[in-house]
Amino acid sequence: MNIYNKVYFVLLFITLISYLGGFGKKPRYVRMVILLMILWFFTSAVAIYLVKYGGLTNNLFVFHISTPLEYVILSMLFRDVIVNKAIKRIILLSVPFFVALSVLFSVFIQPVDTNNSNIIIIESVILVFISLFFLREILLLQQVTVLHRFPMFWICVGILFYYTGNLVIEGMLNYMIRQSMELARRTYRFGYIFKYLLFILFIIGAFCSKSPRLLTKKEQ
Amino acid sequence: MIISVTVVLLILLFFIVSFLFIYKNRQVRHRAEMESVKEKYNQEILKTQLEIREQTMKNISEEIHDNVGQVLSLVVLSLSAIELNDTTKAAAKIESTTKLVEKVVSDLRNLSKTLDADNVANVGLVAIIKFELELLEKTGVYRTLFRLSGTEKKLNGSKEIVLYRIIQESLNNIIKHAKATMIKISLDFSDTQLQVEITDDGKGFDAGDSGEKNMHRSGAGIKNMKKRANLIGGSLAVKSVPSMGTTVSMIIPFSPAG
Repeated sequence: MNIYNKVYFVLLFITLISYLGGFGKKPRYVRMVILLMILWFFTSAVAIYLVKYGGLTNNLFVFHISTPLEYVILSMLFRDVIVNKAIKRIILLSVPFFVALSVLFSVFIQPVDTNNSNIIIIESVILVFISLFFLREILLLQQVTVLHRFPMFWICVGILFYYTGNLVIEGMLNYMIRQSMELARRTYRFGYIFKYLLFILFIIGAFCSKSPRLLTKKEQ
Repeated sequence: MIISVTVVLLILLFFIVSFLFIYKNRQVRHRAEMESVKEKYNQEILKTQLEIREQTMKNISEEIHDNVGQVLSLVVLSLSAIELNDTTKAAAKIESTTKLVEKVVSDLRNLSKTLDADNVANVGLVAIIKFELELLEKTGVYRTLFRLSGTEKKLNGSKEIVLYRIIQESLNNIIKHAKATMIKISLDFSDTQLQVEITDDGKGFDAGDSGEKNMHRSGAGIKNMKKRANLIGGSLAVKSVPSMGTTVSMIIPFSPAG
């Protein structure tokens, strides 16, 4: 395991433990973050295991399975925190649509032995839009008293930056692979910055406040 | 790699700081706006309360002048006319005077109820509307009808005050302009809203082609009633046909606060 992956796993564990900590029933968005961390842990662990010990040279099919699952979890996370009913419905409807699309792409366009960049780009575009919409909603509704103590703000900024980075990297990756493998590796490594930032922002979100303080009716 | 990391971190930092800054600014503006709206609302409620008080005082003064005053004058006349020599006649006079005094006492009791009307929240909307109709019925000019469907639910204090004032204003309009003989008020309480209808069989007015036109013709009174209904989150509509009477209908939703 290289240093990038080691740091990745350390940060992933810290994030997971930060959200698992504490007692009592956790809010839905916390449960979604925990689910996402577990999914990422298993995806990365299985992908590394298959190459290292499984004797496989291509582990890309793992990502063909994890990408739709990742989208389901994140869309459920946003569906829960977004107030606008129309957008909630759109997010919910987008789930079966995205899953079906990713299956179609894996069967007909980018088979399971190739990088599923197209579907990752689509996923990233949707999630960037949803994150931006959520930030706009926070700004307009003015229901949060102290924004930097509101966990979903940090989680959303993390998702926004991670998927913006993903969009650029995945968009270039296939082209880079065709140009030079070394260049592609460098580009892929660059993606770790966004992963680390995502974890750091998620950790800030876990510790900024255990219970987000929303305006009471009286204060409104 | 280091340069890329620095650039990404700087962009992220800039984004977060800018967003927090914009949010703070909006928050300050939003609070100021909320304060101003709250102040306007409180002013309107105060104005409404003053109007109700004014109307109450007017009712009391009319009642004293037209009823209590007249009866007491009659009592004075009756007492001055008592012939003490003739005990039988005197006893009859005293008996009739006592009845007059009892009537005055009963009227004064009603007047104290009028004073209670100033405090809608304590008396309840249904009771106060019934009392208003009783007063009108007592004049002998109007037949009144009251219909209640559903179980009465309490609106929050300020909503009840505003609603009561709108009803009072509608009744005043009927008395002043409608030349009606029958007034009907119906309250319909459902789970989500209260529907109020005030109907008269008066001369009505030409509603024209549209409701909006009607609003302009009917002047500031109806506009003010409509504005007040909006203030408590409701809506008001006026339907009128010449010689066929007028109906004022209101829908007031029950908000969590109300």
